[in-house]
Amino acid sequence: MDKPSVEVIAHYNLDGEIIPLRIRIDSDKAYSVDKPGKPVKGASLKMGIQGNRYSCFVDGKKAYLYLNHENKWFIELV
Amino acid sequence: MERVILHSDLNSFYASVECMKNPEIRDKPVAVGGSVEQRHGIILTKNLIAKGYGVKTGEAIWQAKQKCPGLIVVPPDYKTYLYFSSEARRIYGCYTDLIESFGIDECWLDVTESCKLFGTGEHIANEIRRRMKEELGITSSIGVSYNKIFAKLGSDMKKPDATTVITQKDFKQKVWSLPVSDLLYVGRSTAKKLINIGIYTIGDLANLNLSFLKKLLGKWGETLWIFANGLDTVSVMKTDQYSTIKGIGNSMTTPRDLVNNEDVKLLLYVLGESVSERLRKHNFKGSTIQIYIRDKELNSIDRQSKLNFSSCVTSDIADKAFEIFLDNWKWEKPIRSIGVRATDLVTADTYVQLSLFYDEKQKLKEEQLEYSIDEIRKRFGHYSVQRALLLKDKALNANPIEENVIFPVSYFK
Repeated sequence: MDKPSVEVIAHYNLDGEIIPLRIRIDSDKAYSVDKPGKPVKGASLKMGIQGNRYSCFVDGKKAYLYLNHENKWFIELV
Repeated sequence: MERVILHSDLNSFYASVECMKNPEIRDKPVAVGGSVEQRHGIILTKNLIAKGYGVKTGEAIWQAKQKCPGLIVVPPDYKTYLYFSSEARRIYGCYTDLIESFGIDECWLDVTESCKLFGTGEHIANEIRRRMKEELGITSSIGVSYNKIFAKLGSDMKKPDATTVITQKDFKQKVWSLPVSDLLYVGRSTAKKLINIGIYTIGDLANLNLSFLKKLLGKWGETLWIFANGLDTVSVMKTDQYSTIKGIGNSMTTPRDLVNNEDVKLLLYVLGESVSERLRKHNFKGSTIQIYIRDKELNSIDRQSKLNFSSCVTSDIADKAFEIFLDNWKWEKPIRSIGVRATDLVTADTYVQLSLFYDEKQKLKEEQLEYSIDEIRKRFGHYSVQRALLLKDKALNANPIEENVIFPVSYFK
């Protein structure tokens, strides 16, 4: 199964925290990441992804962004 | 004070990680297996569905597929497994600093002191299991008891995703009825010896006369008797994945059978290179060389011999290994797998007794040459510098350092 991986523009602050700002899905649709929360470790069994999970809003809808151990980003719409 | 010890076992670990990663195979029988072409074609782990078909760890993939035609066999991905293993340790680390790894998927935790902060051992175990599911998407079985042996037995009793508590009050009911082979270090041959004299359960073993048992099994008899009676007092050692090194070895199941001395010499050099490189990496020299040979019919032998000096040079190790081989192998059957190990380690920069009978300067030169080769390989890759000998047969040439990363461990450290 193709996992919904996304391209991300992120802000790295002075404490080394990573905050996602914008994402691009399917190479043409770009969205801003609204209200990203603090990351927690999490796994999505539905999609088969594990990593740091940010809860946020994308295009007005609640979503989770995952940053996995290979530095890839994935999106899960809740 | 009674200790509180947890033993956490990640359920069918490799298979669980694969099922976590690939939702579409999750409800099918899945096994992780080595490559058939390389003749590593055995089942490493299977999920519960595959287990239901009678698929066993260690059997050949073709045997497993006969039992379970729809079996999905995925190749192992050790990097990801090591990542999940370290993530599990991160969770354990939230509850105690006394964590002892036992292989990649098992750990003992001493939470005696942490109980004041986090509640009972059972409570901590349930908390760890919940976090394991939420944060990693895999399940674990946890045994809670007052010694390491019963904690380990507990983690085997209910699977998957369960906590089993064994206390000093109820261990006789819970543990003593289990078959004696469930006990740690009762392997096939010990179990056979015990069954021959009518010892079927752990309880039978515990109630046996100690001096009789010592006569039967030697000093192991006493150890096992202590285990069975719950008197084991070994503490949980604070180890990370890397504990004290007592020996360094590599073995390989070769892509084709080895049929003559030439083949074996080549392989011993491949393994010798990897062993000596790892010795140098950890700043060790070894003075005893052991070899391990397994033939086509899976009968194996171990032989060892001492070097006159301690060394971390490939040719010393490989030549010694070859010498031991020539003394001990009569070529009745072709060889399927072979291993080399260096033990009796000393740190490489200690002072040593020099010898009058060989050229110390030459030895130093050889050592420096090997260190230089390590440097080159670090920058340009393992295959950038090679021995001419190893070019004879490309199929047998490999780099065990990169390809084997998970090593077995012992309870006695």
